[in-house]
Amino acid sequence: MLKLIIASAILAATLSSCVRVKPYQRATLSKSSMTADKDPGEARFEQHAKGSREGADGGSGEAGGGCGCN
Amino acid sequence: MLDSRLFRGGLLIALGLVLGAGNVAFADGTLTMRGAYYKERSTRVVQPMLDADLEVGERGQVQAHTLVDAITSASAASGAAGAAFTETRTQFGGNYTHDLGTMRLGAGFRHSGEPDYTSDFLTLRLESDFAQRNTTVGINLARGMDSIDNSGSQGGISAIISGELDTTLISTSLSQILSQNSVAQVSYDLSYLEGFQQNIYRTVVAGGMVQPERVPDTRLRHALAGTLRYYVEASDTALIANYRFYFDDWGILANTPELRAIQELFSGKLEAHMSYRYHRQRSSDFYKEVYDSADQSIEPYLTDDDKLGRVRTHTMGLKLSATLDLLGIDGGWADVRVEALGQYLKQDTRYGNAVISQLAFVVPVDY
Repeated sequence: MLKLIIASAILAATLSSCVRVKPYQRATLSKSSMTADKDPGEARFEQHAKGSREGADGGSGEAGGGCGCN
Repeated sequence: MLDSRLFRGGLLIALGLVLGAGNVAFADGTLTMRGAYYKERSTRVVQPMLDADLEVGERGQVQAHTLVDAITSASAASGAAGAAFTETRTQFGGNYTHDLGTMRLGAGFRHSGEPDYTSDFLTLRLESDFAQRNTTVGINLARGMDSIDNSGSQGGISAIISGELDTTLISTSLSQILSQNSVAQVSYDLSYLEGFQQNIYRTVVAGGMVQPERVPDTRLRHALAGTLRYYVEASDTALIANYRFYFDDWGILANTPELRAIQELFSGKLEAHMSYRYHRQRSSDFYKEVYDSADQSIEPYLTDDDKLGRVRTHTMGLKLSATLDLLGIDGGWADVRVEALGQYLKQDTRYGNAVISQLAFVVPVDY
């Protein structure tokens, strides 16, 4: 875990030193399709449905499960 | 009873906010009313839900949701003993995020209740921006406490079974702007589950007899995910590639790539979302359809749960999202967004293929 955090910090520092997009250049990046194209409810239902039919879960940063549909 | 009162209370608050839309605005947000439907060979789920996303003061953001899950199934894997049944699950939750400039702090909770299962989750989140907000690093901590007890369920119960399950999740994420029209994100989720993890109704044929399912009491799960978003200015198209690699100490290993394309039409008043997802997973170490022996010294674990076996799933989806001004409606309702979503899941398990459909109304609110 500690190695991952250190690796992430190094990667972030490396990338951030290479790329600098100014706030006024971020019109495209602020579009919903470039941030979160799924509403929370849509994503939650999808995660719930997939979590009850697949043995793999996670990757969204949210806790899955939490019901008796396992 | 308490859960249904909370759901109705949430609905009344939501209606109040909708009716108040258009008044003098100090802050804004959105209110989403959504209905979701899932259907496969022997299981049907209907889920109405309500989501609110509201500003609080100059630096606060509150998100809250409430939902009801009505599941009808003939499958023990879905929850009750034996024959077809209908069961209702109620869930509500919320989180608050405070903006501290280049850093955001958040905390949240989630409660889910059904006759034989209750679950409570608490979450803490810290997010920090670097390099003029070109880089964002986040960490999410969650703790879940579940209680399982079949004494209140439908059907003929041969034995009362109860247990507890504790879940701990640590999630880290890194988001990096790559250019004026591309952004990447990587995340790693580590979760540890300890306690009762079998389905209290599922049985397995072992040694020629029907036996209750038994699985390990602990599970360590890893999920590493990456997303790349690229916007094609010439055609107003967003292209999204997502990949997740998953493994756990039960022996499951999975690869899940997903491609999505979002096409803006009519100056962004209409969006068409197309998606394809492939999920391929290796069986857990102890999954079998039939066991030769039920002896615990020979077969410590027994499960024929399809999702712990080999799984291949293809998911194809189409979503249309339009604001009402596309139809010529103006005034305060012009920004209301309507979403219609359909997905087809081709599953190679005994559940068979499935369809998902959703319909949502996203209402901007000022207050």
